Amino acid sequence: MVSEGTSEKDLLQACINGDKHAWDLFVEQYTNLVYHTIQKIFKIYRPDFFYQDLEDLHNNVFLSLMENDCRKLKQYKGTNGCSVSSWIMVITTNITLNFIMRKKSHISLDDAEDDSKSLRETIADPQPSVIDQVEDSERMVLLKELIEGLSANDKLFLQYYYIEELPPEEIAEIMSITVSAIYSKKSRIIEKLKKIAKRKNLLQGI
Amino acid sequence: MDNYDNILKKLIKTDYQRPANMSDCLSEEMLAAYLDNLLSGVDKEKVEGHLTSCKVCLKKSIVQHRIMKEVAKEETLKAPLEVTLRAKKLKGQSKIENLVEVVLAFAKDNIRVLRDSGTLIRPLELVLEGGRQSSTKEQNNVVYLQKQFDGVKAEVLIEKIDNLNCDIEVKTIDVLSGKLIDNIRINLALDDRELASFLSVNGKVSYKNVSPGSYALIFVHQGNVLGKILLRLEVE
Repeated sequence: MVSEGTSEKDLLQACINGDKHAWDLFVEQYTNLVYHTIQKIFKIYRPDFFYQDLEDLHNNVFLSLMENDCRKLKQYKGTNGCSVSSWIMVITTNITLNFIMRKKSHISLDDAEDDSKSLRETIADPQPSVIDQVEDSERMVLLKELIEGLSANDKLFLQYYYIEELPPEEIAEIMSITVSAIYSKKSRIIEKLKKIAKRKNLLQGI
Repeated sequence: MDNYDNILKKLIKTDYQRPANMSDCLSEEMLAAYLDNLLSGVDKEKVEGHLTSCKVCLKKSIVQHRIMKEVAKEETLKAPLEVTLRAKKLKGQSKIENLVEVVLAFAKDNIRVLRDSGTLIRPLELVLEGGRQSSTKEQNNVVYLQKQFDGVKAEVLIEKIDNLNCDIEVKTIDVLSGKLIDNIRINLALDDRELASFLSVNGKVSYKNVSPGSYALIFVHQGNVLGKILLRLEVE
């Protein structure tokens, strides 16, 4: 019998097993978080939202968890210590963003205060645009190989920094490092590339 | 921005939009664990490797992080009661959840359950203790099923009346009040062909002299299908 003291995983398992009481407890436990998350996303990305949309999305989040024989609920494993709360927030955000993208084509999801390319465009059209095409000179190909040689962590940092142009504080938060580490990381990567490039004589004329 | 910044920006851009296989995208749990800084080693490398090649997930990671931060900033809002109740009612609404199959076998002197896909069979003793009027029925000749749909509980009593026929009585009960409710339409279909369609009156619908076959009891309220019970009656 589930109760308020039941562990998150046991509660989910009871829901999967069809325990109505467990489902009620589960809803009670996460209803506020789901509601608050949707409301927050709306306020940032769609300030003219309708409360009915908020309520419908709240329902859709819980429906998505239990439909198709609880397919989504069964996906949660709790490995790496991921909490059900964080997992549900990611699900809620995905569902809400998809809803906003379907409803309003002009809203930028990148940043409410930033009119740069929207997430909608990104998701809808993941193909390279013309401006993203670069010269494919032999030199650039070789330099690109250098980038390929960087760790995934370094490459991701460069993408957040140069392409997404996120402020160092935000990169630091996402990548769980300090702000000062951001600058030293950048310097280290540049030095590393410089050394290799100079050794291979790749930077002449750039 | 110095020359190296420009070079790096250009290089990263060339590397940015490789199409990623969507089926390889990060699961919600992986992304949540990454943003909560719970990953290390191979798992972290795997997530970061994916983010460098999948623009969709990269963008989502940024938005997700912003939302998580914003939500954590203030006290969590309280969801309105009716919104929470609506979500609670979802249990039992999914089509799979509401489709249950029961196979009953007629033998010479009894009727019994061969199998069922849900947990809707209740021992008859409990039913009798619960005050059913048909307490004089011989237990060997009766099978009792119950299934809860959205807000409505269906009680189905199948009584063998001779070697080849049974009567089926369906009661419709409001889950919240526990009272019998009317105007639930119950269709009886044989091999997808509708045989009868009745509205519950005094909370009941009865079908007489039902012979072996594959039936569906379909519960409909205000045009919406609440659920189905597939009932297969076999002769042993």
